Amino acid sequence: MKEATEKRHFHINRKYLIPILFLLPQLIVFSIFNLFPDIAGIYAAFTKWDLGSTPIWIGLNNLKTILTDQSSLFYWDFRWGLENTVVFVLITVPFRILIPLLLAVALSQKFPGRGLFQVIFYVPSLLSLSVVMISWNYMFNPNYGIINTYFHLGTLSWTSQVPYNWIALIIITVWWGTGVNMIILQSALAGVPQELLEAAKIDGANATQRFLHISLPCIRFPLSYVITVSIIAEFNVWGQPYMFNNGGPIIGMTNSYAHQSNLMLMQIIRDVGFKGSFGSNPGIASAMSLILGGLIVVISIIQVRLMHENAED
Amino acid sequence: MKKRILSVVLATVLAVSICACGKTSGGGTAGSASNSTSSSGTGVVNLTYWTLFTGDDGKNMDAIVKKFNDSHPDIKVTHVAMDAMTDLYVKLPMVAGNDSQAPDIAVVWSTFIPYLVEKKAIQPIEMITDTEPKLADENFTSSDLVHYNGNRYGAMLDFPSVSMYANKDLIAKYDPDIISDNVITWDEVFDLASKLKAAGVDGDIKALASGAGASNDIEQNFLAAGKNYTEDGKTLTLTEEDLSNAMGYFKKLNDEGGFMAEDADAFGLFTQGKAVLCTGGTWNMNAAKDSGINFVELPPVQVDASNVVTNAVAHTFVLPQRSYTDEKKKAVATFITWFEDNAILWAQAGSVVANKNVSSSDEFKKMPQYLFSTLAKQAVPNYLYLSIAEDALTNYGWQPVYNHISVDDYSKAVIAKIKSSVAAQ
Repeated sequence: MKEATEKRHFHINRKYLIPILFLLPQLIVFSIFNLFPDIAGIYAAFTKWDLGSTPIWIGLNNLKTILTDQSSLFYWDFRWGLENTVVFVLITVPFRILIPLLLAVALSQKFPGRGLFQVIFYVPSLLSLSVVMISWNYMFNPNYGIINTYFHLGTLSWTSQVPYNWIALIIITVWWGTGVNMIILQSALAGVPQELLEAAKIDGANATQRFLHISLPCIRFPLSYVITVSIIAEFNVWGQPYMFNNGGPIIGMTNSYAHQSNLMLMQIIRDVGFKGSFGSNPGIASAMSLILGGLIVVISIIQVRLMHENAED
Repeated sequence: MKKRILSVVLATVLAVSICACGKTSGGGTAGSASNSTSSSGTGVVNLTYWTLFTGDDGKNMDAIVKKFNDSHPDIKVTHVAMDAMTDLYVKLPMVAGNDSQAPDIAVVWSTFIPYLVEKKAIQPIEMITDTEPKLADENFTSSDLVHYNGNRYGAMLDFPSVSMYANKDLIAKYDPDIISDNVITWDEVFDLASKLKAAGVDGDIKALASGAGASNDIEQNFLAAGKNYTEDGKTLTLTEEDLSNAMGYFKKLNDEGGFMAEDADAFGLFTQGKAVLCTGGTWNMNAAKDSGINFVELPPVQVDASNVVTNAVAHTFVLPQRSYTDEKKKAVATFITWFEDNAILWAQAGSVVANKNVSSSDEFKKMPQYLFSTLAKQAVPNYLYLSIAEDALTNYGWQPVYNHISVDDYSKAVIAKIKSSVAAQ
């Protein structure tokens, strides 16, 4: 009897061995580049640390500083950075959904040159941040940029005049991020059952009605995915404003601290945490990251719940 | 069964190959400093050499290191260039004491010696310099910059300094007298701006462009006025008023139409003949030469013609905190001594070298930076928290000049940012 049980255990172990071995590479990579750094980051949020020395546990002090201490630069950095980021997300995400959706709908029709347009809209998302920003910086340059020249805008500064600094950043971000969302939505639209669309057409539904009442409900899962991923991506924005205007113009002062228009929370986290030598404060930066991460998790959970509720309806 | 075996083999290979991706191939990466004294019993001493020369100067350094390696078959130096602020000054304290990670030699700014000493990232260099008479303090200009708390921590290399490039053709056309004494004051720059306006070219040609950047140029102005960040090296004594005065010159020039437009490519304006003067640094020499423009390198704009100073730091060789065998010590000494003997090679990139034998040589006297180096006294912003201070200046850039904020608010913001960041250390 004992021998039989042992044999059964051996079989169960062997049954799981192959899947575990296949999962192992990804688990190793995930642990090294995600899990362990995440755990270290959460620990660092509760320490005083300067990268070079051993972190000292200080409990909730970092969180207290960035959330309540108005005499500290970190409080204002965090508050203004979060405000700027939320504004950026609220303006950018709708464009990052609507434009790819419209393009996906247009490209799901059959017309000559469709493939070419698909490539044209998709290619920007393949470019690296540096390439994108160097190109747009040249185009928005007030002295020799094509945009000011073509639209006769003189020396209008897109980097330092509100609201043009925002308009420029949103154009760049939407242009860069449209391709990926468009491809996802295009493939989702291709999966909409043709018989439903044809039946609706026979019943007299026009193109708008067919899109709103058949196509859109059919693609709600990929659409929710695109919305969630876009929100997460835009909450993590830092490269575009960093390379475009390094935080942008000062738009206000409180307690002698300056509020910069385009200084996003991720750039502040990077500056506070990893500026190098004196000035690095990874403890504070990790605490800021923890709050931002928590915020993104909450938004994602709400998004997933809404998605499931829609599915049940 | 065969399929199962194949699956297991494939999974194992994948796992092993992915793990192997994390390994470095050795040499040339910051995380793989060599700790071997000699390689595979061939008698070759390997030295890892970290510097902050990531631009054109890095290519020049690579060429010099190659020359050294070619002429010293018993020593192999591997040069690794990295960004100063985000890499070098972060990694040196992190690898300190770890012989398998720490480099054997590094080049840092002298202003960072107090920071690196306090972080226990570097050690006194006397064990190398004491055995080499050529590396004695008296052979270098301003060697006091590498001393801290009674110890010597560096062997001087050069002085990367803020300077000013002047377009000789434009000067001959619009204001020939301005460089008669090779020193240009702010009053003369304002005068030049009014002459460009009178000639009706102020829309196309600016009197001054800032190629050195706000941080260097503002520092230059308060150093020229006899101010500095600190008196004791640690406590900030620079006032909002000092900063407002330093920024005020640029604001006034812009108000009079003589300063470059916002977002302009300063050095591009200069090389296209659209700026008469352009602040820059000794590091811009190659770019200026390559542009083909008829120029002269002068000290930056002065507040007072009788006290000509230039905002400078010093590049210096340092010894990272690690252990050195006698063989390795000898190899390090050989490399630094050879470099100092051949510092003229380094000067060819525009550097003002610290080695007195080289800086007084006929060959150096023929170089464009010689005139500049003899005119200006080096003023070094020796502040323990220099990186925080310069970061604050860079962050707010030229915003008051272009009226995004008042000069006084700018000064308040900069001082508040420095004080708050220092307090959090």
